[in-house]
Amino acid sequence: MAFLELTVLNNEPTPIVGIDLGTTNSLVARYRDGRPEILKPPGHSGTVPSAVYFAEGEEPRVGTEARLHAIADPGNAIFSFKRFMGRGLKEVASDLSSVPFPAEENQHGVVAFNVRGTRYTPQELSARVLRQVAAVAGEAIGSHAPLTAVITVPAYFDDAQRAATRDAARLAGIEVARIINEPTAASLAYGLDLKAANEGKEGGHTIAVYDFGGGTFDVSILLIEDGVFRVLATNGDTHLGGDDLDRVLVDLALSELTEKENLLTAEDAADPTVRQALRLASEKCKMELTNNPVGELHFTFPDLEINWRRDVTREEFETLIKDVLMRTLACCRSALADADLVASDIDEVVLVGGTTRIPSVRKLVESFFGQKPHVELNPDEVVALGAAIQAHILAGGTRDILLMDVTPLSLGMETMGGATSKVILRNSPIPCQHTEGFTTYADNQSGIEFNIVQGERELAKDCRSLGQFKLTGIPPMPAGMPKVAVRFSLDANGMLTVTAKEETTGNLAEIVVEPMNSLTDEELEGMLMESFENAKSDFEASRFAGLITELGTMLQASERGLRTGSDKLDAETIDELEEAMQAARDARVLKDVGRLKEVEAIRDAFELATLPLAAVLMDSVAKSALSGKSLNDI
Amino acid sequence: MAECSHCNEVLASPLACGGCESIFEASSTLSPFEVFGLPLTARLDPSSLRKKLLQLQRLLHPDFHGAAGKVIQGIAEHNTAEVNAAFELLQDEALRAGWIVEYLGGPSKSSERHMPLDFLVEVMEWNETLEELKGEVDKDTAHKELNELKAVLQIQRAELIENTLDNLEAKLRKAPNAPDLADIRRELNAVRYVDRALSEIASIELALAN
Repeated sequence: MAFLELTVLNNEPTPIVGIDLGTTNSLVARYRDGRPEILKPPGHSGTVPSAVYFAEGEEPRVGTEARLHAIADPGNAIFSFKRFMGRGLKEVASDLSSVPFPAEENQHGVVAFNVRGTRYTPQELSARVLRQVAAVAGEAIGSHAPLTAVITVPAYFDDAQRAATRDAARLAGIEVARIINEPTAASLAYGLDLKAANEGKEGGHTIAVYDFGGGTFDVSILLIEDGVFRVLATNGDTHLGGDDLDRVLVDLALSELTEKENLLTAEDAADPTVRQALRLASEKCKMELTNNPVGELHFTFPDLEINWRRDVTREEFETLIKDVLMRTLACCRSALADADLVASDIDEVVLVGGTTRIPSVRKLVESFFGQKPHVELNPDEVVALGAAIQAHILAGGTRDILLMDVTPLSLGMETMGGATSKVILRNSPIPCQHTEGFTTYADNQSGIEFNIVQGERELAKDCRSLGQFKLTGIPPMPAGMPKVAVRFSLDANGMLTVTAKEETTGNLAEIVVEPMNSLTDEELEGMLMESFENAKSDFEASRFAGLITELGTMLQASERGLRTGSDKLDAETIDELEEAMQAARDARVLKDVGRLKEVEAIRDAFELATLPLAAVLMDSVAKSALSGKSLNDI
Repeated sequence: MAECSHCNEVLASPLACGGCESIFEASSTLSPFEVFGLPLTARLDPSSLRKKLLQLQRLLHPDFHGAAGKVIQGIAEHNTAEVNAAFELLQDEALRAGWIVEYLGGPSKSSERHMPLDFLVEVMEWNETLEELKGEVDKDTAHKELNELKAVLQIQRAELIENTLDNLEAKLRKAPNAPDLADIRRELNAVRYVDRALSEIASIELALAN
């Protein structure tokens, strides 16, 4: 019964979904019928490329279309912005040199890209991608209610980068149920099968997740025991990914084009359009090398009359990328050391991220861990699938699985002399809390300033400062007398809250540490106001898309219904229904959101016209269910 | 162990009931042993400690209280943090022993910084070897010697820990010949020196591998 099904579908509470907000692509998945599945509306791959294109005088385009414009109109198509999340301009200098769009910094040190005279922060751009992801989810589920989601981040993301991700979701109108780490999510997706294979193994079994994506690298070591996925250690580099492998080929092409062949002047080589064309040629060559022993590096640039080709063999490519790959192994060694394990202790290895498709990456991982890694699940989808499992857990769907994660970086405070005093050590399980005592160093000192830092370096200036605050109102006392307790709390998202309390007076300074390089509340408010203004048109567009889908479903159901039930309807009713169906068919090809009201009216009229048919069908269903039973049995 | 105020089941921990799955706000500061519902002992079985961790986290973890109100979620988060902290301490023999020394009124690691005298000479020898190995150019030699030193240190550590735990057990059952708590602390300081040398070895090995 199509109509009944429709009603049931619409009344279903919107589930919590899992979103993988990637450097290159973003995906959404949900848990259903005992398995996670990638949400793909009919005729759509479900993948939203993480790119935004700002066309002159038009609405910005997000996703595939934006990716296409990156070649023709490089300065106005922004991509790889995940690399800039929660970062200051100084920290991203090397990333900026490899993208064809300029960046500046706003007054709070947040990176912003200047496109056609307007500044966009990575948070806002990510929000646009997330909105598109939400639209994809909405279309696949058939509901455009606001989404609640588990969103994944690289395990090695620090507090500022996590906060930026959370802000992006807020701007997109998505409620964040939890932020989880990408490799941990992947382990959940694989874990369902690995769990069965290792059921009952004494002491649990260990897995290593090697997650090499477009812009980030993570490795996590987990112990799975009785359905509990406990992260023992994690390590990584938030500036190491497939992009870096492309860059190796860009450098190769540049050096040959400028020095060896004199086809390109230094000035042309610095041109963003040339850079972008080289980057795309390199990416293509890299992908060819994944499936073939030789890849072609083909760079055409008609404006400069360049049409240059060069073969790159796998061996040559392997030599070129060796240094980059060695950096991933250094992370693996550190993670193993922190977990107090050696490579041969690992029971299973799992590969995640598009970059792990490269044969030499697989070979390297295999020889490092001494075993064939798991590649059964699509490395591009596994993170979103895992996020959907976590969403299912948070929605109360199961208590069989539990994720216990850790914080990737130590947290501490700057002490006198600029050293770091660590309060929470890296790889501590989260959530966690820790209190540290402080006192004054001068008589009658009325306040203490704190600089909260994250990182492993000995000097505070080499770590990332998450924020500074001052506890004031300490009563006059000799130096060393006041007792100040500073409490660090990391929640299950790995995000920090700090409170300070002077214990002799009970003076409390509750500080939610807003990390440096993050949006202020006022900025967020301002952006939210703007997005509300846009939200009306966004909402109408998604409502329109939803209506078109709904009309399609109703048409199919009516056609099917008419085949079985038309003999029980009078001619007039059938005529009315067929008229409504034709109107619906005509409406389905409309592309103009401005005619939303009209389409809504057509849908409502259609629904009214189907009521007699629905009644007849209901009746026959009821009869067949009751056939063969006497009235007394009912 | 106390009983659950809701279902009268014997409590797995003051923080949660395994019978009715209620979670509770601790009325006072709990010791790591209390959090895990364990009696105060110097030795613990690592496997059952891990099982207990999993049991408690299954009851307490905020993931399982997503639908509950803010208050319950806050308690879940706080309690999970308590269990995590207690586990980190209990699973580490040296940390656990140090905690018991202080609990029994003995010196903290900052108030008693000495270590057994005969141990001092050995520490100086190890440091010398390590300094030499840092400058070793031949990787194979460096690996071999680092491994040898590591083996020596690991044996040394195991002996120190066994001895400390024996002494603490004697202290806990108030044996007349039990050593002074300050002596036990000095022994634990020796463990810290061994650990420092071991982590030094680990970082030299990492540097060599990379």
